[in-house]
Amino acid sequence: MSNPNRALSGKYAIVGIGQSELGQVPGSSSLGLLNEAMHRAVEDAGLSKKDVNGIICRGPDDIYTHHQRMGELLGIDAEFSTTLDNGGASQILSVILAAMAIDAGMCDVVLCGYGRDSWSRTHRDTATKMSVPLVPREQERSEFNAEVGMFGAVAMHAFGASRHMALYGTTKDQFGSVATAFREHALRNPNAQMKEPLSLEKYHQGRPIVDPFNVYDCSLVTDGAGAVVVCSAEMAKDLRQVPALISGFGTFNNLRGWFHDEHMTDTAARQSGEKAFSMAGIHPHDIDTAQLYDCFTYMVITQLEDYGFCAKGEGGPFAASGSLRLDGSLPCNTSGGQLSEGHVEGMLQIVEGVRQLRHSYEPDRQVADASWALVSGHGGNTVCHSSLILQRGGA
Amino acid sequence: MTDIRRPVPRPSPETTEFWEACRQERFQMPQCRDCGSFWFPPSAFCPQCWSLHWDWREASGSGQLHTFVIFRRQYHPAFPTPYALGVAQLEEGPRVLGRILTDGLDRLHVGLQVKLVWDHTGEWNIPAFQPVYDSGIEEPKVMGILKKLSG
Ligand SMILES: [Zn+2]
Repeated sequence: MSNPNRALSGKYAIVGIGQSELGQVPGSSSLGLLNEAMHRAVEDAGLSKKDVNGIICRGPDDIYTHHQRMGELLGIDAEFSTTLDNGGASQILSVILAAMAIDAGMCDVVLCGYGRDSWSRTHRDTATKMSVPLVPREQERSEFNAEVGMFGAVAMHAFGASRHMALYGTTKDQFGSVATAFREHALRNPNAQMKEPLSLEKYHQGRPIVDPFNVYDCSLVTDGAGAVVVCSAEMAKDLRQVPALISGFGTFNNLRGWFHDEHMTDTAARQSGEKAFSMAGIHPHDIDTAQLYDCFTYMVITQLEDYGFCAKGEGGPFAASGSLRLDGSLPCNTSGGQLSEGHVEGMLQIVEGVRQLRHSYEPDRQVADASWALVSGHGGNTVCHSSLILQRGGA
Repeated sequence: MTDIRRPVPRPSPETTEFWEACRQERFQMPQCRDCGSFWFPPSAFCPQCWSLHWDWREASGSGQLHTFVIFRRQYHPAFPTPYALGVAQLEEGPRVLGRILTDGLDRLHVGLQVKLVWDHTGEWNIPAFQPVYDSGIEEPKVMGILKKLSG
């Protein structure tokens, strides 16, 4: 297996972050939300429109030439721009690609972002709620799918959860401990979509969706966007924010599919993470906070194992021991994650990782002395994975 | 207003023959002449060795549940809940997604022996699975997959 170039470790940084209004934003559009987040990210960096010469972005699957639409809204002709297609793994990939493009001399300052209007597009009225799929019908598999009764991402991930339970004795209580820990974080985040406490008892009473998942195992339907600005660490020295240095990254895509080998219980987070840790020259125990792609509770459990925070099969007990809480050994999804803050396909996990490294928060939300953050992205057709290791930049 | 017709497969040129054979209740899949591997869904080249030389082989129809889920929320009017979907590991190697036709949803488990059966929808025959204990054959005591992984 190849490893990313260590000479790039720490050479580039995230210097600006932004997010749009989040949750149920009636009348919003994914492009409008992303426009808002991108404006805020550039402003946060202390830069202006004329400094930005790269755009890498993504939105709902039905928007063609997404980066062109964004460039038009932003009024920017880019030296490098593209739209990504790795699902929830795209957002970290955009940061990776930004660093690679700057390193290759293609551009200097790259705006990366993702926006979606998942709540608005499915709640225009009752008929819409019943009939509008989040993934356009043309992009669904045309056979070996709906004709057998297979619908949606919940079932795909539930297949993995079901097998993990059988192989390792993972329990619903353990899935529940992920949901309740992240809900607790969300209650401290005024922007989070979920405002109600979630006890383990309430978790077990959740409306069943696809066994073994109930509604609390599933991430939220959200309107929202997030964006970050990437430039060289050299340039970051003259900017206003404490930079989050891009210390390590990696990708791995199990393209043969979720049903092959043990892909659903031994995910591409493993190889993707190995590359990122190798590039950063650190180990899982060095990580102060993890912002993991929590489309479903189970995905957190398997990623904890695949990244090496615990042994394979130990993810359930690891989560249930309280490790993921703000006062635990690995504070995880400290803004509430996609399960409780809002599902913006991993973009807000990057934003939260940067905030923690900047020490932006009061003690009730801050991971004490956070120096290293791991962020993960997972998606496509459940098989694409990307990893990002960020380090707090020089004081 | 809502379409309660069951979704139908839209075959590609590479799967047309597969679906034709299903009409005669034959589940066939490609086997490579060069490396011997089976694969599913059907495609033009062997994914293992990229050979173009392969033959259709009829599956024995015997397999084990790699994993399964039970739909509780109704996603489509033609699929009333609850119903189970499984990924069956066929004896020949490939894993196939299909409905598990059974009244015993609470008796399903990973490693369960299943056999291929046909879900007749009218125009199409859709491959599905049935637990072997539903056909009166006693379920084997040791689950092969779990035994292999723990051993
Ligand atoms: Zn072959």
